Amino acid sequence: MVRNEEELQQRLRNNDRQALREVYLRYKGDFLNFFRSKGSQGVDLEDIYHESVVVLHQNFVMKQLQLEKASIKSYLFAIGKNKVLQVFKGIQRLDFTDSVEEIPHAQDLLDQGDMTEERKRKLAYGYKMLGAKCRELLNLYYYRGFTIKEMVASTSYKDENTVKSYKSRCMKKLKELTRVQNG
Amino acid sequence: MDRERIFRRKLLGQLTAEEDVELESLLQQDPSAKEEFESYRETMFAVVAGEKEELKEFLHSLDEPAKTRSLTFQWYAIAATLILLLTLSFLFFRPGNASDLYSEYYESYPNVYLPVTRDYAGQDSLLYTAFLQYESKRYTLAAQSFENYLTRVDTASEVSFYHAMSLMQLEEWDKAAGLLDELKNSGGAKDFEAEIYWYRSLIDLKRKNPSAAKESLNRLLETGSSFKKGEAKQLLEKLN
Repeated sequence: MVRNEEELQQRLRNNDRQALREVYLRYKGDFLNFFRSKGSQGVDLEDIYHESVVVLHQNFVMKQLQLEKASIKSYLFAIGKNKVLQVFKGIQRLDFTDSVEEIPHAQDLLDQGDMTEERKRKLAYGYKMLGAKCRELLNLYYYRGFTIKEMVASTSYKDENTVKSYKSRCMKKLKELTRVQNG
Repeated sequence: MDRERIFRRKLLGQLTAEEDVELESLLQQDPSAKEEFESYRETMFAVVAGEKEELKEFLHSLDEPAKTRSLTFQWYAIAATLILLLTLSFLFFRPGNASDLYSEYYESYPNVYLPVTRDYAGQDSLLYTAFLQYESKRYTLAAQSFENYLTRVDTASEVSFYHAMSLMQLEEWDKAAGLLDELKNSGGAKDFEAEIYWYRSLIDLKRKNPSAAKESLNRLLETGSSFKKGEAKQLLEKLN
């Protein structure tokens, strides 16, 4: 694998925004041209591109994805292909024969089929209503997958107990904001 | 490995087949483990959904054309700064008015209604498009799409709320106020009750009608919601 590609993957795993920016700008033109050439007219390809980059980011950061054979570009295009096919499901056939690899584990992590739409909305709302400190703590734990020890090392909280206590307060707050109201 | 690590790996599809069977059996046999798992899953969902929205805003900002800086630009910048300073000093020595308060307190409302579902091919695709446009700040298109959805598919109150939010962005105060009033009177969009009063009060500020704004703010506080509670109290003090 090209050294630059390896480095870029590592930076993506480290949640480096500059790396994401590089990927976004580097492949945007090719992505839009490719899907346009495959007959994806009438679809908001710009949005498909945004969605695909988000999924790529989720997989690198949350799953610490390591691409050994595929490149970042082919991985991104594979996600894009799935997204475009979702749009055209049952509408028309697109010709992707052998042009984009099939890559597993590129699904959107928010596809939690058995959760009701109302619950999803409530959860998304609750998180947005939390303060910045809570969002930061929950992000480190649930998004980036840090351990409590790693959270102490990357924040200004003095020790593990303090982090645990703040995290538990934030969870409580989130629960209050997303509580299911009866009646 | 602690239980939450296993939950995380399960949700990310990273468990081995053996680990997966073991976890499934635990979840079936132990209700408290099941409850813990559901709580973990919901929190992770909330975080991923929120982060996604923030990421999309970041990507959107990358599409904005880079500013070119030239000598002329610098002169314009200096002139603009002087004008700004003069304006600020003028504002500083006069009492604030209702319309200024609007600018101070207004911020667009995030898409928390359809933030994440991606079933493009379903019958909700019109709604999906509308929210996409809303999220990417293309409010003219969003307003049209919301209106189409409300006319053709469903008269969901929550969608009507976002229609009103798009109209506020387009400064169509009368139409936005009309929609919010309809929601207030019909008791629709219960989840957005406090939000409806908040934005209705801001429209009244914009229309230079502070007494109506105060009434909406008081109603907001009566809902008991924590949404903009502090800001509502602050605004009421300023208006009194």
